[in-house]
Amino acid sequence: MTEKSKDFSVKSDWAHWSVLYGASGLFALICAVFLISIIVSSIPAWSHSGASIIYGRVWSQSTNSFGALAIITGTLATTAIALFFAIPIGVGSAIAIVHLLPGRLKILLSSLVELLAAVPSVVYGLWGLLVLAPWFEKTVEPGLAGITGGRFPFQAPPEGVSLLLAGGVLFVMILPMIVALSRDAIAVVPNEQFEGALSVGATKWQVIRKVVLPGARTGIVGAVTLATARALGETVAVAMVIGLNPLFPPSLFSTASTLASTIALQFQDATPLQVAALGALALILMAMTAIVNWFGRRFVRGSAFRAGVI
Amino acid sequence: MRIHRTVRLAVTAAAVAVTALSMVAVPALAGTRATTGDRYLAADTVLNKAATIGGAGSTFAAPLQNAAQAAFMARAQNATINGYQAVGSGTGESDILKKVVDWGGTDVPMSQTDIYQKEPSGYNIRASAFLEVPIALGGVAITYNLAGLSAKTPLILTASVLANIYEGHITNWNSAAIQALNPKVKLPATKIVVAARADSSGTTYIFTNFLRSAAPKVWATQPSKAVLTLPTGGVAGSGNAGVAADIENTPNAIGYVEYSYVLLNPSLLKGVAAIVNKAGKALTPSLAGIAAAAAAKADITTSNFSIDWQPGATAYPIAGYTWAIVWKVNQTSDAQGTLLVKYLDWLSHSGAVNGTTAGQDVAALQGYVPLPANIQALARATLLKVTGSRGQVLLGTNGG
Repeated sequence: MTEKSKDFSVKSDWAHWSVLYGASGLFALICAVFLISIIVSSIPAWSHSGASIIYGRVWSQSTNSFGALAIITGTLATTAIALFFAIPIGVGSAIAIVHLLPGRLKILLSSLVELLAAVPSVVYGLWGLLVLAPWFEKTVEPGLAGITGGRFPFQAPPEGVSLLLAGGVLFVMILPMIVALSRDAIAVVPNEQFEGALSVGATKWQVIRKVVLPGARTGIVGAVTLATARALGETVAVAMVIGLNPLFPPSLFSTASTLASTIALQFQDATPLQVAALGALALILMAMTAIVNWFGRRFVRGSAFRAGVI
Repeated sequence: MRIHRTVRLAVTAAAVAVTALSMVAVPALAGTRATTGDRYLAADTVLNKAATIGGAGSTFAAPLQNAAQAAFMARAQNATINGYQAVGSGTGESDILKKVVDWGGTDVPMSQTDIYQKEPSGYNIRASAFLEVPIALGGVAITYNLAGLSAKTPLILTASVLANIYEGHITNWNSAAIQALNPKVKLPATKIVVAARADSSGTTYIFTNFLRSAAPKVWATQPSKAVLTLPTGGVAGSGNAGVAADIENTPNAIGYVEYSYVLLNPSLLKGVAAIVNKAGKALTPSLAGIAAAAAAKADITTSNFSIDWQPGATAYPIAGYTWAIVWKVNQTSDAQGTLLVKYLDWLSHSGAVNGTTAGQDVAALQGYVPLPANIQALARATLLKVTGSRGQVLLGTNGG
């Protein structure tokens, strides 16, 4: 190599680095500006209501009461319902797609997952409102109340549009995300490990449980973390099926409200103080998402540590 | 919310089709009450310069705006009116303050307090900078979704019972108060699901103003466009279309929607309550009943505009006007300003001109009551106050 070409390569290296640093710096800047502007815009609400925004029970535009505890509860409850169903079904489908199903079915199911992931959320909302709501109201909710004898949280009259329906719609929305990401994580577990374990006499189920799942754990947790963040922040579809009532839902069959849908519905025509209060809701939502990510990372690091990777 | 836009689009398409069909038949009918020699109306569809305008706000006025805009553009070359955005009265007011639109639609004339709450900080906009043009007269229907009840025998409800339902004091359909009003109806023992608007709404104002006027002991709060605090289990929907969809999809629900949405949404017709009026008569909403309410209080102003709870045996008790808010001094080009006042003038008048019909004839086909003659005159007088860049009156006969 000549001196000249070396020079050239150093120069181009410098160019590459500056582009990469520039890009990451810009990204950090955008995030900082975003965060700071939300914090600043919410200041009037914090000085008006203080921490009662987080623990207050009444959210009312007409009395300038901005307590979001019921709205936070609605957000957490819908997300919990969605995850309760989506994690086992999503991870189970991912395992089936990679290791159990025959080739053609595998491709069919994989493309279905990708198709579902590309459906806009308003379509899920419409489907929830027009198709699922009557079914929940007539069949699912009375059925659940019958099985449980109407005990908490299955009491109160079935309404269709409800916390449970919002959780159900979210479940369908995050399912493809969990399946697709877990499938990719499971697929990259080295085939040698899989076959090695089979060759020493383990059954397929044992191999999946002891080799595949621990190996794919990081990816699966990542999938669940992302899906949780999406469920917490989903706006349009939830707004259409939850009833938008910022009160404590006494049962799963009752209407409720979520942070994102409250922001979307009330922002357009809000008084300045209310805009600040909605900014505070956005901040709370971001904090919740950050906590989920932190737990996700901790879990991944912990499992990597136990597995001896770190 | 986008779904309701979709629903609205479908409704609009249907409305436009109905209007177009009726246009063929209506001129003959309208010709009988032609205001001959109305030189303004004759000039409204004549524009020398091409211009584009748009409005947003009241969903109460949306079925009319959707149909009327299409009809106006078909008659007036050079006129483009962007699709009306039915975002609610509160947002209509915010939008005209921020000059996002050429007119804001509201069911409650904008007060100075509204402006203080909404204007960008640092501004000091006076209410007198705006003019409010009455564009339609309608009613608010109380509809319910109860299986097993016949549409032929509507539930009878009073303001006091409605106020108690919305306050959460009456929680079951078979409560004694409702049963006493409907002795022959077998009411279900289910909980009432209370539906209301999720956005700031003029329909909410008209409804709460009715409760406040007719049952002040139960409904203690002042009438307001603000989102209502609902009882547990209540459902809130975005826009009149959203509330209509919620009632349609939620058994045991009750809610309030603008009358024309009931006409456009036949499944709601299954349960439209008869409301006891000031004279003690229970009436379901009808064009005649709304017209009677307007006639009982002929002279309205922008500060005394409510026609809720009017006397007279035939007056439907929940009714109101809807208004277009414009800047007194036009804020856009003269061509746009001219189109704006001409469109609103055409919209707020009835009568055949050059063999076609004007906006209030379109309104009659959409479930509104045509504005009374004195209110049409009020609209004309108001629009003649809108001035252009040189202080000239924009609503002229010259075609602008």
